[in-house]
Amino acid sequence: MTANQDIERRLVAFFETEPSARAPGWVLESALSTIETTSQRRDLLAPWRFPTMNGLPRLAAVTMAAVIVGAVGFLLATGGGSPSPTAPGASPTKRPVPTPSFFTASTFGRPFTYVLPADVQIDYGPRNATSFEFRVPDSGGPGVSAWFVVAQAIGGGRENPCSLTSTALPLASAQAALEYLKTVPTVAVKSESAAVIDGRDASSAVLTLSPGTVDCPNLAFWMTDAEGVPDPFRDPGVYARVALLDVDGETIAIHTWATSQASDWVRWADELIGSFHFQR
Amino acid sequence: MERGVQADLVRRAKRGDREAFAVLAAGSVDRLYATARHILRDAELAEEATQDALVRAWRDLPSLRDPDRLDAWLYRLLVRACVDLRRRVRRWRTELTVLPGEGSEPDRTSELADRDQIERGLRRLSDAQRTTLVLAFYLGFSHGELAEALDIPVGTAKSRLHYAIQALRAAIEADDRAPSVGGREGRTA
Repeated sequence: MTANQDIERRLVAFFETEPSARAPGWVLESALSTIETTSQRRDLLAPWRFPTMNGLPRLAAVTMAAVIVGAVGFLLATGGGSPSPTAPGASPTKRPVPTPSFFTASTFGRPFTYVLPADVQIDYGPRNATSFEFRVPDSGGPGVSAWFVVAQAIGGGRENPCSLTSTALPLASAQAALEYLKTVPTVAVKSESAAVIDGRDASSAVLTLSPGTVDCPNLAFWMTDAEGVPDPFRDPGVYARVALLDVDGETIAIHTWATSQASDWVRWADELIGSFHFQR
Repeated sequence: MERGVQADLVRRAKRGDREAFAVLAAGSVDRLYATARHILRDAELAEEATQDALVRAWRDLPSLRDPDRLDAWLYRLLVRACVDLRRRVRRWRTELTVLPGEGSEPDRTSELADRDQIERGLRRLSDAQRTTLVLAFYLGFSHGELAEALDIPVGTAKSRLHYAIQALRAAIEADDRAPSVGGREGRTA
């Protein structure tokens, strides 16, 4: 047996004897809940395929299509056919009027309803009791999301925001949470402003995060952060904004992130956040 | 699930039938999750990748030409979801492995020690290498299926598999040469 064959044998044994992991129930539930609000992409290639035709039938179909296209072109060029009662380009059919659809963030500890902006496709990241993430697919290039809005129940700050194992630091209000952010190393709080979300007073600020350092490798300012802010989100040029508000005694942070050009996203994010309505 | 039944569900789901898709998803979710855990070596990230793959599957299902290829296609989406997730997080969690100290060697069988060694070796590989090995040796993919899941030519899949095995072998040999006294090993990539 060669050395490589030995490795292959050991690998097969390794996977065979590893206890099989079952997905937690909420993984399927969450995915199915997401597809309730996700439309399927149209398969634009389908009409152009000739799955069963070959040879002469295919040639005949192509020829027929060419004849039809040519005839239509000739009629348009010579003004032939019935006179059109409408201006060129006008569609005789009624365009459907988009109607806002309300969705509910029911997995979030403080459930809220929201309306998805009509001009941008939004799907979801992790959604659980303390975090509900919206994101724009392909906003950072094919297959990469770069624009996010995350609603987070903060659960207070951390005594040491650079350590994921740090103890909790109670924060009594949204304003206290904003003041706490100003004390966090590697975070600069700028452009503070007052805002109103769901009819509640909120404090908003733009954040500038610094890359990880030896002294502060992990940045996890909220107690409910399961992991530190990833380094790409701490690169210069990343847009980070937080709005903090109190909802029935609990402080909620609404983060807006953009790791690539963000001008449109801020507008859409504002539209999305402006639709939030926390259930009482 | 019987092949004909699955193909019928795929056709219905392609036409927008969410209930049909839910049946397909329920039948695949555990296998997808287990595969993602092997690739990412992280339960939480695997949960997220599995969700992502299922949502992508629903969104892109109309582009699936052959209903009988659902499984291979799902794994391709899962691999992409894992890659995207890594790109987003772009870091490994620092993993501390305490090597056994002198005189503190636990009473483990050689089988367990072998498992530990493979486990450490897999963790040392790149995501791409580990993904290739998981698809080939956990899911038992042929070269053709591997190529399909990784979206690469068959020849490239063969050579990628060869080099992944070589890399694992090198990682294990390096592990063998590591000092057996206590210490900590951390890695960030």
